[in-house]
Amino acid sequence: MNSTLYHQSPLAGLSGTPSTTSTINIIEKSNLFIYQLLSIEPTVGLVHDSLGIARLSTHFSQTDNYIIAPLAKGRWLLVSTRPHDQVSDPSNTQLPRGAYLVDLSHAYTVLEVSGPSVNEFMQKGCRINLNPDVFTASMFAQTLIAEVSVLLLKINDQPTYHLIIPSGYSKSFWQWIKEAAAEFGF
Amino acid sequence: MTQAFRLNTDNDICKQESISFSFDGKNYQGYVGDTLASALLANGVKLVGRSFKYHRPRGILTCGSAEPNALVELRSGTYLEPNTRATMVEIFEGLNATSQNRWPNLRFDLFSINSLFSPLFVAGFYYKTFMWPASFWEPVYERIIRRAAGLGRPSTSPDPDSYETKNLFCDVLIIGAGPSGLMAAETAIAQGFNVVLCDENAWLGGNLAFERFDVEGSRAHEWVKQKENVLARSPKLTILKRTTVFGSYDHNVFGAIERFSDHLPKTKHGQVRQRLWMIRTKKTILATGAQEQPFVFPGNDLPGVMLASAVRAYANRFSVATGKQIVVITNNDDAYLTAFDLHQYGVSIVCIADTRANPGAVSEIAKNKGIKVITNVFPHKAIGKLAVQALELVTSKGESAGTYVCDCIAMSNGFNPISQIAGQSGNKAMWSDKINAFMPPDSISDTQIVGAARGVFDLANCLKDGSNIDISSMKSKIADPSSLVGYGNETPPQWNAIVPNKGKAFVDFQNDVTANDIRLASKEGYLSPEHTKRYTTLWMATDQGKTSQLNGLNVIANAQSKPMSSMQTMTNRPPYSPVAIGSFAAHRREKHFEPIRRTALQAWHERNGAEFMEAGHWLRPKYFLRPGENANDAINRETLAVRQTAGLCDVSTLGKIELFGPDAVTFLNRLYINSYSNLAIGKARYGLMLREDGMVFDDGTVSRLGENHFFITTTTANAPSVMAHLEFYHQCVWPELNVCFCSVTEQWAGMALAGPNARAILAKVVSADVSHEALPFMGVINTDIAGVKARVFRISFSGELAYEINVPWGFGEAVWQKFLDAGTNHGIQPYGLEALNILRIEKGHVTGAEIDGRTTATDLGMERMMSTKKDFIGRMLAQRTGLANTTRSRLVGIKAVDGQRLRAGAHIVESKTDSVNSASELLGNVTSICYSPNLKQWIGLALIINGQDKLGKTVYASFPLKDETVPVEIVSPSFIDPEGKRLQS
Repeated sequence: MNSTLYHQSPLAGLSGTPSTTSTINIIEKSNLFIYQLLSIEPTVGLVHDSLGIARLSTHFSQTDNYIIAPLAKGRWLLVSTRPHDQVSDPSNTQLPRGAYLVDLSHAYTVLEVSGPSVNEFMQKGCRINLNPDVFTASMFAQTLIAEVSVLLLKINDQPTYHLIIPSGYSKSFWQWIKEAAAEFGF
Repeated sequence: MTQAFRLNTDNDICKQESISFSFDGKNYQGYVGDTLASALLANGVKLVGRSFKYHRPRGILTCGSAEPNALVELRSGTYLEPNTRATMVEIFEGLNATSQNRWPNLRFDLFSINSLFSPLFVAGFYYKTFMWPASFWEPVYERIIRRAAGLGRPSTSPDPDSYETKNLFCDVLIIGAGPSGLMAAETAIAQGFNVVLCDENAWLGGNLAFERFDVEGSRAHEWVKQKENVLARSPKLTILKRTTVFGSYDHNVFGAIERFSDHLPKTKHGQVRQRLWMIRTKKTILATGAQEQPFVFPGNDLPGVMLASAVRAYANRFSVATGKQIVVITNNDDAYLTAFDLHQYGVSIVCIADTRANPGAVSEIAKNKGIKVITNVFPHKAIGKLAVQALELVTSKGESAGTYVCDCIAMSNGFNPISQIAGQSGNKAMWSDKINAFMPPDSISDTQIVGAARGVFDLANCLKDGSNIDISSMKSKIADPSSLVGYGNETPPQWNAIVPNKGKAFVDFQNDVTANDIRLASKEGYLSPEHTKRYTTLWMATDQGKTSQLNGLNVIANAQSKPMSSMQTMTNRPPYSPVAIGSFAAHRREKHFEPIRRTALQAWHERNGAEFMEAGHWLRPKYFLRPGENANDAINRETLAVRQTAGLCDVSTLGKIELFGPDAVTFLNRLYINSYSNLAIGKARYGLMLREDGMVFDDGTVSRLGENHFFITTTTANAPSVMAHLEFYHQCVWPELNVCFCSVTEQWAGMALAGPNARAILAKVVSADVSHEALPFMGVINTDIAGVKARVFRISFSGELAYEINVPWGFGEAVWQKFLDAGTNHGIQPYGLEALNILRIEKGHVTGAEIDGRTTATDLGMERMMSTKKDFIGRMLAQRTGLANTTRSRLVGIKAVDGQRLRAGAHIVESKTDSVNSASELLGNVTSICYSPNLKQWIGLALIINGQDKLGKTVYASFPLKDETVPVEIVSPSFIDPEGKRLQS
């Protein structure tokens, strides 16, 4: 969006400078755009086919431009590096009639969490079994972390996680992060 | 004071750094690795506390978590922690400990006078004595009792320590890292499982870690270290030391508390004091061991009377002699090891008194070492005042067997499996004649009990039991432990074989319950152990009867002439050991008690004098204070600005839902009482939802953005409920409707621009034509603001010409500022919830105060909105007789007749003398009130029976809490611009 107005992250002024001694890294991914792809019942199958994605799964699909994760029947999360006006056709195929893309880029804040102590850190708030044998790369979950509803995506096996947090709770969540991650030099 | 009781052994502890600590204000020295108990004993301190009821002098009984006596206060001020077991506290430089429940000091405690009145303080004393007068109970009796009896004092300040919760998942959880637990861990890892091994001690190996005998060719403690080294190398194993598993919950969830930094003088940045682990496991192995039991005889609570295994542990692990002249009293072979080890250290063993007639080979070994062994004798009485000085023994016939001068009695009355965690599954431990103790339940799903915890008391068999576990089937290959030779207690516990009825023979040390108390309870008809427990306080308090359960049940069985097999253990409930409340709260305190939800404009509000209030999780500005103003000044100024010039209000918190699909209109028609069939694209409509019972659920607006695209707003409070409501009806009731929807509440920052100058300001900011013709009342347009996509709705909550503008969250503050800049010459002012509330009351608009779950559309004067041409949720039940009754309350306005202030919640009565307590005299209640700066008087909204027929009538608003009764006139709820000219302008 080309605007003369300033855009402000919910975490503006909070994230600070990462410590060189920290064993976890937490950064805001402000270059990502979040969408929900919705579909009425008769179109659900067509969406699956046109985007080449599995039906309900605990894994997300990934292309160069976007990640798509099934949240519920007829409802997918789409994380893209492209803004709304360029992503209305995320798979370069026309979305079937009855499918709708809703921009939620401002509704969520994305944090990328990684580093040697990341699983230890995540244990403090996350009730998902993050054992690498259980929660593998490309898996995602909707869960509560520090009483905040979070979409958790495991991006790779290093491991790197993306936490997608409602913008209204971002500051509160960040305050929890600061306390929980202090042990790891963050 | 030097550490006069420190032994000269080859133990590592004496090579550790010396540290100083204080107890009751006196400084002592200890070593790193000492517990408070071991360090005090090393310094010759035996008296460490006073008992709960009689204030009897108490010393250290055990060497672990079962300790009932040595409860102390740690630290001071806000860090004060009462009832801490000295046996579990690892000392550190500067540790400050204090004895508790005594006055003025530990050696001379005035409340020990209670002991003289002990014949009065029998079981059920409180229930029998403080019956009259009833009014004295709380102000007199209870205060005196609480002063005279009790444990420590908690700090009254907030706990300054930090705690945290962590989650852990595993295939196998092993509780207890004694010999069986270590072997089970080794086996589980070898079978490829992810294992968590927890132990409450700071070391692995349990008691084996300080034994002096050899295991598989190595000294016991070296064998333990070798095992630990091997296990620690496995990536499959997580070892949690200083971690007590305190609770077993459904679905294989266990709670454990890790004393993370309790042993450190100061925590590092980010370190918590204690950590609560929530462990989710597939299988559980209970290797919790067994608890040595005390003898019950008069004076058995004197300082210096200890469990034999504890005496041995203090010597072997901490190089501490618990006395210079020790009498060992036992009914089993294990206590002989205590005598042998202490004898080897040069401590005088006065004698070993064995209750058995023929102890066997072990007594010969003792004699060969020059230790006197007396058989077939029983403890009769311990003599002493502040510490034990001698032990009287009697024969099995009750004849004197001599008095033995000593300063320590090491007693062992057999072992009982520790089954509290197993018992929390709901299954009870049952008496076993094979082990002469209570066997834990063996039918807990996904759980196997190994080692001493299932009555295998012999070390070799414990090792075998642990290593023979089959994790997949959760069965030990040794199905019946009784097939093992020498695996259990040899002799039944000797609870009070020769005990005379006089003298205090304690069963429960912590709650001062004697054998006579239990016998009396049985005589008075308390036959069930559960009833006895509640009547006598047996097995209560922080130790939960760890050292008293077996003896207590023995006394009950004997008093009622019942066999032990008829006795049942207590119902076990978490926590197994005391857990600091703070660890349950973890981070959920103060600002983290609940997450706070902030709008995009929060930072601006904070910078501009906003006072906030909580609205659900949201923080919303109440008003914006200017220098020199008080709250009322600010509220009145903001309210007047909206009526006279313009105001800007943050309404981002309203729920927002995007609805799509060819059946969207049908869906909306069923959800709302009014119809959306004819809602044109670009138009908005106010709507009301009912619950199925016909009561009003929520209100809001629906805007049509496209043929199959709608935008729904809800109240702030009901946003999640409305979303859930939509999901339920779509998924479960009308799945055939082709609609889809999602919440977009936080995608959009919302602001309400209201007032006569609103249009002029809006026109300066947005690119679209916003004239009345282009954007009429209830019109909606998509436009942009300096390149930012915006939705503008011409809707009004204030009754003024008003617009609600939605822009993407991240641009919220910039757009807000742009409106303020554009409105500077038009008198614009930000306004908060207080002004918003006044404006809506002046207009008669309802909110949560009126939509309280008990009102119908008719009550609120909205009956004409209910469509008769369609069905909708709540239609049928809204027509039921009770709701259609013409005597129901109706929404009306009220205004104070004589300028007095009104109170929300006040009752409406016909005359000043009517009682608000008489249902027949109540006319209704006041739902909302405010002082209207526009009308310059107090006004309000009220629900009054047949209110619509009482316009112009004067009634009374009675508020008993303030003893106020105010005359009010019933008027139309629309106080300002009832024709709606302003919002239509």
